[in-house]
Amino acid sequence: MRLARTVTVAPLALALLIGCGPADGDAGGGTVIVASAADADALIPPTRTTNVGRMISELLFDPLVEIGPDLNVFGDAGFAPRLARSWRWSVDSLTITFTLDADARWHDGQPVVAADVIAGLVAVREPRNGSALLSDLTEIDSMHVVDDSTVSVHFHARSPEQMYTASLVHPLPSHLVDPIPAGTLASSAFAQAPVGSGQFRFVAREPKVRLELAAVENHYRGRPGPDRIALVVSDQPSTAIAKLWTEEADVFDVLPPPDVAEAAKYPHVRLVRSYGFDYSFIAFNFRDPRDTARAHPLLLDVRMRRAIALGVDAAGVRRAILDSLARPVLGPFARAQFTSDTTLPAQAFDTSAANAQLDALGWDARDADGIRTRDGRTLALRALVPAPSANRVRASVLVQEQLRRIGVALTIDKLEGQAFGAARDAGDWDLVFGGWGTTPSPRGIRGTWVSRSRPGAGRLNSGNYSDRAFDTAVEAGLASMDPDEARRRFREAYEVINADVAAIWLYEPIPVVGVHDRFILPAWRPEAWWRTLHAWRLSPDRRLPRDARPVAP
Amino acid sequence: MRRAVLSRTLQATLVVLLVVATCFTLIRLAPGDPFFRALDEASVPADQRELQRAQFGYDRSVPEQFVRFAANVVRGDLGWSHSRIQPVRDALTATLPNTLLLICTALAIAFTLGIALGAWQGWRAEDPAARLTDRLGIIFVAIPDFVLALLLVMGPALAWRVFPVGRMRTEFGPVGAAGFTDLLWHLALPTVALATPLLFVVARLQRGAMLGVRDAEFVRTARAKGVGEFDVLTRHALRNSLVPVLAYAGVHLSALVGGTVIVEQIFDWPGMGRLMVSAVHARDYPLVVGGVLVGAVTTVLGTMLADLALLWADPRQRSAR
Repeated sequence: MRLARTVTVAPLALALLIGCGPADGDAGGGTVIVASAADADALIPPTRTTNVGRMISELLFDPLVEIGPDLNVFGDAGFAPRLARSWRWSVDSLTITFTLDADARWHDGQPVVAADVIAGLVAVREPRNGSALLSDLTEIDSMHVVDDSTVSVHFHARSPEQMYTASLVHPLPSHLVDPIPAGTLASSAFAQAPVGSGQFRFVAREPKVRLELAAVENHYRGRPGPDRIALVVSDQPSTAIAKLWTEEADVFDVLPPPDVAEAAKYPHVRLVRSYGFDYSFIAFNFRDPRDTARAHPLLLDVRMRRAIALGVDAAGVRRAILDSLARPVLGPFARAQFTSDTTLPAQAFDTSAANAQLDALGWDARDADGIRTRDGRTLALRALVPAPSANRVRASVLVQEQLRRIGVALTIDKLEGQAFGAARDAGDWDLVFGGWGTTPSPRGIRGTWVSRSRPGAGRLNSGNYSDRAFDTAVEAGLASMDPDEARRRFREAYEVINADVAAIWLYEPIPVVGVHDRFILPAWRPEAWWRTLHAWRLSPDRRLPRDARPVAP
Repeated sequence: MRRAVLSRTLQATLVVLLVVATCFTLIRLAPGDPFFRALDEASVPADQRELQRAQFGYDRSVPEQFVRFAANVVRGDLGWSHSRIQPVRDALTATLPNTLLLICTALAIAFTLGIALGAWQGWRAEDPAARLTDRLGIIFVAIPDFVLALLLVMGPALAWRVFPVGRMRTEFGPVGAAGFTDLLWHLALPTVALATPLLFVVARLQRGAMLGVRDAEFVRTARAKGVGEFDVLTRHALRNSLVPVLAYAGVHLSALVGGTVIVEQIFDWPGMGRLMVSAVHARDYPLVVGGVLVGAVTTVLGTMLADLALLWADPRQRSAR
């Protein structure tokens, strides 16, 4: 696959590769149109769950502090002030006291005060608001207002990620949010037309069609470069991408591999290659799909899981689907996380060993189709695949053929998004073609792979993988105040889960964002490109008619 | 006539009620719920989702939910759209006119041009040009509307850039009179995709009907009385050959609504079709049911109007009833 004009972006070398800011002769202003195949599920931080919802809510609302471009989640090094101008730690490190920026204002002109920080936390903690951030903020014990511009955040216990947790708190305007009856925030007028604190303000929205934001002229962090941002939503990704080709849009995030190659035909499209936080895998179910209280009759045996894993050519699948736009996965982590370990060995692909292992397990007879049998029973498994994921659907077909070659029959159940989610969560499968989106913090692993028997863990571990050694190493890694020690403990955990063959690791897609080259880009944030959108500059000679329209009041 | 209208209204009400009740039940039987989020995104824990379900009454029995829904509909409240973060009424008000614009434009073009083309083909049946256009029309009838829509996106929109890829207007484009022209520019391709197959179906129907009447006694009589050829065609032959075409209009309306769903998806047209597809994917119960209610009422009304037009045009239908 040809990746024409692709810029590879590493977190620490971003500014060097793309440029450090506006060059001589460039101009501010302009309209950035973001084409998207999905609308924002919510416009305010407490109720958003999707990536587009996160983008819009983060453009509208500033956090207290923001994680730095090196994505360090340890301590507070690299964290940049936002609504909080400064902070200080208590002697016991259980409290961080933030001093708010005196110039920070809500888009209605009201000053940002300490009560607004508490309003942001209260909104997340109200269970009826359905906030996906609730589990991320459990480290916070309480908050209290010191004075109008000072707020203290108290934590239950010391942890290396206290500041990262605080960075997930997005203050809300208490003068507007407090009167809203508890539990009705998501359907309030405020949620439909929010008043935020970010560098862009809400202008208009036609649900599932378009959303318009405009620059805040007198923002405490300075006026952003673009005059406005419009999110235009197409249900079909191909239609959204076509808008980038025809210059009807300026950005599409994230281009599928065939369109990355197609971009070569459109000279105005620049491709920015970034780091991803998603990884895909085939998980084994440790419970019987027909009765999840019982162990799986075949897959509880690690020898069977290993034999199946040996029969899957994960590297071949990765190349066939994503070519150079994916990296191998070596364990339950994304490479951008600080606990990633690229020295781990990749899972082996060895069909001879797979066949020998299956023979040794007694599956040495074959039926007319070449499928293994034992005591008259065929070696057949059922895999769940989400139909909306074209990559995983293709992967399932390839894996089905690979397993057939070692005598394992794989039935693929391709289900639409919600049906897939319901079946996955119910454990009604032998194998699942899954994928997890991670964050800079490795703590999400607690929900995805740690045993369900541990308090507050394993919520998304629907295959019921459970190993005490893995759980202990993960908890120790998360609790360690020493980054090197944390890495060591996580490596232990990865070795355990790989030895257990809890899953077959497939690929970590490399996201490629298509951007119109009329914009001069600043340093690119690999985890959230929109975080530097305020610094985009429009080349003066590349203005389009849409840039001339006055901004709505 | 009044009795016919009353009878059709009662039938239509029953149809709408059945359709809505069926849809109301089926969407709740589908896996998932309005609070399940996108694949692999941070999902909301099950206990929180249960609280949300209870808040909107989705934890109650389906019959109880239906009674509450019906009572709210009577009060003019169609509920809250979870996926669009707005009242269902607002979502429907915003999208229904767009769909009606697309359908009505397509219908107007398809029937006007189709009737004219078919009438000419039937009247001049021996003309090689009429025979050629009739044969060519079969090709367009055979092409499904979604295939035609994709071809239109790939050719005029993407490759030649003569028309926009989709949507109703240019983002931050012209306003006023220029804005209206911009709307027509955006309307062109989806209308062509929707109207073309229908146009040629109508033309074939009209051609057949015209062949049936062009040598009829009343036509020969009109000619014998010295009526001009154009008047014979338009006042006598055409009017009498319109009945099967009008009957077809009523039958075809629901098929056209179905085609609109796909065309709206492909051209990003912000209408009811797009709304309904995304609502079903999101298990947005109130929006799905509200959309079905409005869609059913609109379709039933359209069919009724076509039936009434048929009664008006053909006195034999009235006497038959």
